[in-house]
Amino acid sequence: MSRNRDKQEMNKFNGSRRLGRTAQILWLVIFTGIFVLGNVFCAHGMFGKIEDRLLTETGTMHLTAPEVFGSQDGWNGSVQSEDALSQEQLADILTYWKHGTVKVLHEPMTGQLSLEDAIRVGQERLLQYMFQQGSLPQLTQSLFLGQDGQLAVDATVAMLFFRSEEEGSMDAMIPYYGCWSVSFSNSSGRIQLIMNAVTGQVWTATFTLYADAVDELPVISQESITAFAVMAGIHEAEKGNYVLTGEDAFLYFEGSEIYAKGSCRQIDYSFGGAADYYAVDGTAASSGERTGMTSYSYELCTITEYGTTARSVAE
Amino acid sequence: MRLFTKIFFCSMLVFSVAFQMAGYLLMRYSYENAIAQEKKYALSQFQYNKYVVQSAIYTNGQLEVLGQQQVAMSELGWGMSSAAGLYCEDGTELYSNLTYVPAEEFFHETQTEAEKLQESGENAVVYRVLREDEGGSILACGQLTQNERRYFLVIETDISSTIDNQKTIMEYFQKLYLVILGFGLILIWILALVLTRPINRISKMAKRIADGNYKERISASGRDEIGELAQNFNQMAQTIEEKIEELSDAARQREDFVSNFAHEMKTPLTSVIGYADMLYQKELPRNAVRDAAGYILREGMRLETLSLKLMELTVLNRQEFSLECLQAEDVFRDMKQSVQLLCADRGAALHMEITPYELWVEYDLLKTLLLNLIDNALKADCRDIWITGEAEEDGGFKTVRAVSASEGTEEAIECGYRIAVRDNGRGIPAAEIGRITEAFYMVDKSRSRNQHGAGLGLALAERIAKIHGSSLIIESDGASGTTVSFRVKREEAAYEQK
Repeated sequence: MSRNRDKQEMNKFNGSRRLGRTAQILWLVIFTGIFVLGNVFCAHGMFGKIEDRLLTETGTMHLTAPEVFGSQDGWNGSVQSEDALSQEQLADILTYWKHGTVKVLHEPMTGQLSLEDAIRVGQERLLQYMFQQGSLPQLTQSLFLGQDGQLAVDATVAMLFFRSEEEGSMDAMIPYYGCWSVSFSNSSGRIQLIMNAVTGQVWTATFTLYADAVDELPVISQESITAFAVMAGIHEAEKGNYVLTGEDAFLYFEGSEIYAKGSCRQIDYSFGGAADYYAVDGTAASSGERTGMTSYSYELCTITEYGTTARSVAE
Repeated sequence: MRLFTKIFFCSMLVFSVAFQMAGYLLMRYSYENAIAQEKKYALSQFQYNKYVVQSAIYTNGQLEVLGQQQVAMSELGWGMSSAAGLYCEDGTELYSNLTYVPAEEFFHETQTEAEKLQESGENAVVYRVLREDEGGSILACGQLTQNERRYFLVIETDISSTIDNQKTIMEYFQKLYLVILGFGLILIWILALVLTRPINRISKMAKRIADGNYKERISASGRDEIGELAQNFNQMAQTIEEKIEELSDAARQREDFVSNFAHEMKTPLTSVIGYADMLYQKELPRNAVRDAAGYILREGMRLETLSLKLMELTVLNRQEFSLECLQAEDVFRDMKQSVQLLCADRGAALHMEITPYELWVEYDLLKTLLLNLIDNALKADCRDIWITGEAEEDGGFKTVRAVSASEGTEEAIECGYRIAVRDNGRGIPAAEIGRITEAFYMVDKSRSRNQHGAGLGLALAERIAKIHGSSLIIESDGASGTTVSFRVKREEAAYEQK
């Protein structure tokens, strides 16, 4: 009798346990669903708060110049004293310029040319060396020179930057590594100069003619590349060895790591349509329907690898 | 709440919260980083446009004074890299292609910040992140001085794509969260099942054992805690099974003891009562009276013997004895004097070969043991009884093959001084050897009773052997005699035990 009663009670217990387990699982599922949805809404809410904070943020940022690093003793130069740079220093700066891949715009540092000085010096040297002594092609002269013998330009843009290996880097640097990019443009073309930020020596000059007026590519003459080398601050540039190789011209100097290079390119946009032309510094050069343009460039080059003299100077 | 539910619930909770928190922190970092990048970009755009504006002002002169606004401004627009606005110091607009019209307070704020930083030579750019329905932008305003005049330059960079990207990431993350959580819950479910299955198995097994299936065992695998638990559980089940068997044996023995005792009491009492009744009821001749009285006396003596032996057995079970060091030859010489006459009466020859040795024994108990063994030998109608005492090899322990009377199995026994009583009587059948030391157990009950045996002698002997740390070893082929031996421990060992 009692065993039967026990069995009945056990069955009852098992039944209620099964029912309890089902209820438990049901509650578990409901709670899990609520919890997961709550989590999603909670995350949305938190994300919304972050978004609200970030998208209503106000504050102040600073336009700063990079810090000066290393000794300035070996870099005592000024606008008028481009001769102060030795061949070694010159080579070092040139290799540094070529090494950096990212341009970082900044405010002028102590010792660097101001925007006004950069534009003025660029204009003066361009006229003095390239237009008066450089025997540039007649077309170029006619496109950029006015009646008064001054540059006839509609817009001038100058900006100071240094080259860095990383985007947005403001590494410490010495002022001589900075460069001014000064561009003079009118409806016919554009001249861009890359100048040393301290001495104002022009180490790259690019002449871009938008019109298709040039039927044949002009040859980079010895006079023009020599004039450029003088403008770049090479002593006794007249003694350089002129070599013409196809569309490129070179001016080598005995016993020097520096040489000047001139090249001429014609870019054909014969596929037509609108094209925007951008200069080296990223400024828009022109836009509109064009079919081609001609570009001359002069640049100072070095055979020295970056870092060899830069380190010695820094140390 | 069941363990499965707990594991599932806790794992789900931890997994869900951890995943959501990690995602949230990652997205927050990503958003902050993206906005920081946008601010940096806005600053670089400001710097760029500042140079453009400064260059234009320098080359064109004071814009508002020269009245060349339109020309100059078109040039500005041409050179600007982003939407920008140029304002005079008093807030007059010179040029603007901004989507937003900056409030005057924006210029005031910029001026205040510029004045703060004047001494340090830095230029302050005040920025505002603006939110729209469809996106947003960063407005950056800074002061610039050119040709001895101050201007406010405002640039606007669009950050809608960044906001869209972040929202897309957020939505993607939530989808990912739900999908991964879905899979995670299935995995957690399986994991919880895997974790709780052995426990459930142990639980079911425990229930079966509780129901009386003591032979049930868990197939223990794995070296984790559950594996250990299973092993321990099996060990516990084994111990319980052994204990239950021991208890069952003890209960059976007790039942046997009681029934045997009742039977052993009943047999003489029936005779005593019968003869007493006959003496009481009838007038008997002298010879018949004498015979009846003789029966009553013998059965009474048997009952007395029975009660004495039971008492001894009870005393042996309860009392603690202290062993003493005795010379083997002295012990056996005394014993020989006691039993030699008895053997002679029963027509049996007693042979004794004793090796001198120091024994740790309780003299009276040892004597009782030997007397019981000799009595049994005499009851088996033997012609010769050999009592031997020999020291086994010194030191340590050695394993010998033996048939233990109590266990009936092979076991490891200790070396020491071996005492054996051998006879050439009827012997004991091999099947009976296992139970021969149980109380009241008799191989041939009728013959035993005729010889006033109660089946307690060997039970007493076994108990005494145990008191001496030993056990009876009974060897017999069931036809040509029996050898009963036991080992008394060596002096040191016995001393240690003591």
